[in-house]
Order: sequence, then C-alpha cells, then structure tokens
Amino acid sequence: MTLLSLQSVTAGYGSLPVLKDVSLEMEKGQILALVGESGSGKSTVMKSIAGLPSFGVSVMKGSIRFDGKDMIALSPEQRRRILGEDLCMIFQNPTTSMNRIRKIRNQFLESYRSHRNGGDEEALQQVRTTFQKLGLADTDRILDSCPFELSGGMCQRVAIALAMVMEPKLLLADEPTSALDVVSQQQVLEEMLLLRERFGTSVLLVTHNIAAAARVADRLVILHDGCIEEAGAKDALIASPQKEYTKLLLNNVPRLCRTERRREKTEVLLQVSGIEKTYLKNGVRVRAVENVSLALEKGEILGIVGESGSGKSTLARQILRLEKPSRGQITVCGKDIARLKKKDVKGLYQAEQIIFQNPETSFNPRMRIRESIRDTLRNLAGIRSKPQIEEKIDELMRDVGLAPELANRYPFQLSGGQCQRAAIARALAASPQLLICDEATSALDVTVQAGIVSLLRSLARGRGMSMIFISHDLALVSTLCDRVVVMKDGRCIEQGTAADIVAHPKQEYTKLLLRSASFR
Amino acid sequence: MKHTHSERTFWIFLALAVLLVLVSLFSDQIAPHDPNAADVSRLRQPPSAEYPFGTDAMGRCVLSRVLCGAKTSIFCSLFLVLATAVFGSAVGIACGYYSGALDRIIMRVIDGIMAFPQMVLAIAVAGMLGGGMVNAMLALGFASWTPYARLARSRVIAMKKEEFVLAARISGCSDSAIMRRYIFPNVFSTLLTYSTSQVGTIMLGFAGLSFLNLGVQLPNAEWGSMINEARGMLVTAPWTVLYPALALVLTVMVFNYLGDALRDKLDVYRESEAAE
Repeated sequence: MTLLSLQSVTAGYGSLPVLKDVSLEMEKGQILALVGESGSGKSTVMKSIAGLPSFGVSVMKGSIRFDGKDMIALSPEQRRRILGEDLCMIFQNPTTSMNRIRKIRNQFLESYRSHRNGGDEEALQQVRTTFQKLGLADTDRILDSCPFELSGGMCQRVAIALAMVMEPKLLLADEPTSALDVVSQQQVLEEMLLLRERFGTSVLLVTHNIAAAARVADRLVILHDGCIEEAGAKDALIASPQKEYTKLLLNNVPRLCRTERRREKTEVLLQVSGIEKTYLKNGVRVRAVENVSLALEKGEILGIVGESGSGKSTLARQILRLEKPSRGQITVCGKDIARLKKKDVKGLYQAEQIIFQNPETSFNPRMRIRESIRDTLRNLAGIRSKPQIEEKIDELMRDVGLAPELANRYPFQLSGGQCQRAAIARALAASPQLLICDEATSALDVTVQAGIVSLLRSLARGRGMSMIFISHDLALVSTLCDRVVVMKDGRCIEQGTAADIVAHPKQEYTKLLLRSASFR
Repeated sequence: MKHTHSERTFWIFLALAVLLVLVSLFSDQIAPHDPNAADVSRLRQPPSAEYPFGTDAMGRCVLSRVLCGAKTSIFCSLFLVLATAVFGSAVGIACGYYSGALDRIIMRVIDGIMAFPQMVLAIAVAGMLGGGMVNAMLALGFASWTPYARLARSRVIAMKKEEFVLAARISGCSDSAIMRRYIFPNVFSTLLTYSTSQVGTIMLGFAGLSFLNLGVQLPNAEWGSMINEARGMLVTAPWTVLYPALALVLTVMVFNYLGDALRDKLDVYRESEAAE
C-alpha cells in the first residue's frame, strides 16, 4: 500500500525552483534512501513533505500525498496534528535538535502533551516500552539527563526512540548519521532496521553517504540537480546502474584497497616519540593523546585513522608546533621542534604545511585567495619581486587544477572543492617536504573528494613529498596511503602497511572500522 | 531589498556628514551674526527674517550659536570617538591575542574603570583636571575607551583559534601581521557599529560636562550647554531649545546611519549578493 507519494513536484525557495518534477512513491514498511550530493535538493524533498513554514520551502507544482491526505492542502493546524504523530523527523545534529540544557523527560512530555491527553506516568510507561523494544537500557537515567550529558550517538538514538513513542507511520531522517562516529553510525543504522521490524515504520532516509544508504535501504533514489536521476531496488541499482551520474557516484565511493605498494626505505623525516597531551577540562584531567610514537620517511604517505575525539587532530597540531605536547619529543629533519627559536619557526613551516578540514574557514574571509597565497610566498618561499610572486601564484593555481583567475576571488565565492584546491596551492607555495591533511576531504562530496585525493596522490609522487593523511574513512586511507596508524581514545592501537591492516586487522576496533568501510 | 540600496544610502549619508563637518569648520564665516554678541533690546525674539532661529535670553542669534556650536560638538565628539576606538581596540586585540599575565592585569583595570557609571567617572576626572575642552575630552576619553577593549578582546579570543588564523601562522606571518591583516579586518565591523553608536553618547557627554561648567567655557557656544541654558524657556521661547536640540538629533542620526551604511558597504558577503 502506498504511504507517501510525490507527483511531479516542483518546489524551491522564493521563486527559484530547486526540485524539478520530482515523483516518488513509498510503500508501507519500506526504507527508502534519497541519495545525493550537497545542493542536489535532497533536504528540500524532505522539507516540502513536512511543509513547515519556517523551512521556507514552497511547492509550486505537483501534489504530495501522505497516508491518503493531500499535504499541500492541509491547514497549519491539521499539519501540526500530523507532524509528530504520524510523521516524525530526525535531524543531522542530535545535540542541537534538542534543547541542550533541559532534561529529556521534560522535553519529551511537552511534545507528548501536544498530541495525547494521557497522564505523565502513562506517557513515561510508553517511553520505557519503546526504549526496551529498541534495545536502549537505563531509560530513567537517560530521561533524567540533558542532551549535553549524552554522547552524540546516544542522543541520536534517543531522539529516534522518542519519535517512535507516537508510533508514527513515517520517519523522515535528514542525514542522521553524518555527524556521528563509526560505532554510533552503525548503531543508528541498526536501530532503523529495528524500527521497521518492531513497529512497521517506513523510513525516508536522506543522506549523501551511499554506503550507509546501501546498508539499510530497500530502495535507492539518486537525486542530482533537483531531478531524480535514477531509482530502483537497492541491489539492482548498485549492481547495474543505468545512468552515467549514478556510475560516477558509485565509482567515486572509496573502496578498501588490498594491493601491496612497495617502496624503498629512505631517511626519516619526522620522528614522534612518546607524545602525551593532557588538558584540564572543568578541573578534570583529560588525556587527548597518550604515548604516541611514529616515524615518517621521506616520500612516504602515512594515514592516521580514527574517529572524532581520538586525538588525531591534536597530534597534527603538535607536529606543527601549534600546541605544545605535555611530554615527549617531536623531531622534524633531525631538529627538536620544541627547542626551535622564534626565528627558526619559519624554517619549520618551510618544511611542513597543513590543509584543514573546512577549506572555507581556513582562508581569511576578507582576503582574496591571491593575497593569502602571496603571504606564504613572501614569508616562506623568500620571493620578493612582485611579478615573480604573481607568476608563481598562477603556476600554483594551475598545478592544483584551477584557473589562475580564480585566485582573485574571495573564499566564499569558490565551491568547497575549488577552495580546498586553493588551500593545497597555498600549502605548496612553501614547497614543503611534509604535507599534513587533517580530514581534508571530509567536508566534500564523494565526486569532489575523489578529485582531491587523486590530486594529492599525484602531487606527493611528483614532488617526492611526504604526507600525513588524517581521516575517519579507512577505505579512503587504504587507497592513498603506504602505511596506516589506527588511533582510538588518544592511543595508537595498530600500525602497519595499508594492505596489511586491511587484510589482517588485529584489533576489534579496526575490524569494526573495516566493516563500516566496506561497500559492495 | 536593503543591500541594493546600500550603495546609494552610503553616499547620501557620507555627503550629509561631510556637509556637517564643513559647516562646523567654516561656522565663523557662515554665521550671520556674532554668536556671542548680547543685545538687551532683542531678548527672546521669535524667528524672523533677520534672526531665522530667533534670539535667546541674552539676545544672541540662535542660528549663529548653533553653527558655532557645531564646531565644538561635532569636531570634538568625532575626534574623541576615533581616538578611544583606536586605542581601546588596539589594547583589546593585543590582550586577546597574547593573553597571559599582562592581559589579566589590564582586564582587571578595565573592570575597575567600568564599575563606575561612565558619566560619573568623567565628571570626577574632569573635576580633578579642571574645566576646559581639552580636559573634558581627556575625562570622557578615560571613561569611554574600555568597552572597545572588551569587545575587541572577546572577538579575538574566539577568532584566534580559527583555522584561518592558524593558517596565517603556518604561512609564516608575524604576530603583528596576523593581528593587522587577519584579525583586525574581521573585528572591524563590530567595532565600527559600536563606535558610531557612541558618537551621540559622547556629544551628550560633552553637553553634560558643559552644563556643570567642566566642558566648554562660557560664553562659547555648544549645543548641550545651549539646551541646558535655555531649558527653562521651553514654553515661553521654544526656539531657543528646539534648534540646538534639532541639530543634535539630526547629527547623531546622520552619523548612526552613516555607520550602518559603511558596515554594509564593507561587508564583502553582501557585496557579492548584490552582484548576483
């Protein structure tokens, strides 16, 4: 039976249509994944279904029918009754979609009272049964906590469970796993399967992560530029995609790479020995990095894998002397970086450079790209003459695959991928021996990510540059890196060649990472 | 939409502001009468062809006094706002960027200064220094530079952990270059908005000090002291209060709007939106 149907919907913000002629149908009890890159209009689909005025989405043409009702013709009051009762929504960031400093119990009861007339005890009893069905223990402890006291993954699971108390017919989930670490991602996805099994709820999953979608969905719908590119049963679609775009999308998803790469032993460029970093947080000593040692040779590409909070970014910052380690030693080119004098720090930055996760915030928003690169050239490459600098900037821009004219733009005038390429150009301006990429592709779409990764690979090979590639995606790391370090809770739990780690993981955690990274 | 008009708004208010400054500079030449010449034969005359704004309790030409008062009011206020803004933000940016012991000491001093109401503190300082316009400026300046420092410091503390500042450090920029070229442009609009809102406050502050005989010395004209002098005649000779008050309100408005328009103009984001 059809639960939700969109008939040639054209919708957008203001007068600008984002969705063009989108039609899709959803059966009861089905999990449908809407997959697309940023800007493809996948969130707009969801927003036009929910139809809240604050979303600012207006449906210009077509019809949206949910459970036999015409959603567009509903009055605000009728829509309010449906939302939260038959139709629930889950957002990307669980810690901000709830009030962080109110107890979950009160937040829940508030929304419960706006739908049902039952007493509080009755409501809480229902919560307990729902939590039990979804395998969440400790109901009362969770209800008595505020969202900020729970981890992101826990928060998301609680948000889903609370939505399920009303036993909705359809759950709209907007990128529910994107802000979570691998373990919680797994749990949330499993919870969705459980929903369907125990409650018969349908789920419309909106995501950019085709691997996650493939794990839970029955049907996939690929969205591109506001149009439906391809739709079909999951297995059929992944096995034999018909459209070019779908093929491109599937090909660009990083896959575990098992091929052994041979490289000659060279001299050691970076030596990290016994690094520790402790913070004082609310009077409690927190260990961000614990006894990490590693070495990097000239021309080697090292991958550091771990999820948020595993200490991998802290480690990168210490190598760049942006933070001081509490204990341990870091040497670059044989020099202890803690002992460098102020005037020698420039020399360190001539040897190593970094690319940050978010390309737009790594440029001064009020400077043109050219000015930022000019700073690096003048300070670190020692080029003084103006025409020479400008010429070098054009050359760097071409090296990273950008038109030199783009350097005259402000960072926000570039797309994410272009901006990240510009950031690479800036780093290359210092002609470093070591390039640290801190989640450099995580904020980008898969197709853009593939381009950046192949650029980094060719740059590293072409210039004989060493690289530390920090990522949470083991599949991606395995395609690029010679050696891999797995980090968890500030410790380095496993090290080895990329092929070795993929083929013979020793730690449970590494196996889990591998499972979540495998696709197809 | 607002930003499509912002360019025109900016030029209009800039022209008005320049006009005001010019008037204040050449007030001696423009004024139709001697602003300080009293004449008992024409006390409190309503506006007429010869005295467009009427005369005050001592028979002085109100128009001439308003024009001459512009020099003190506009010129001193603008100069003082600029000086306090520059000094306060420089202190704030340096404190926020370096933090450390000196920062903590300076911040406690600022807390101390801010614990007193601005006007009370200015009166106390002016009282110690004695009357006169220079001393009044010193007194008001001492009382009003602190918010800039606080504002700048809080923004810088949040900003110095941002990736573009780290990137600037890694590209070998010196501390002063980072503060000048990376941090200052990003706190400028906040400081500008605050400082334009201060122009009015400072003008009123001068008026208050003048009233207590701690600012401009009689018989020199100043809008605040003119209003205070004439406030008893609000019913009998309203023009003596109305015109200086109107001049004050209009000037404050022009500078506030100019500040808003300037902020919009400097905002690169809006610029690109308008272009699209």
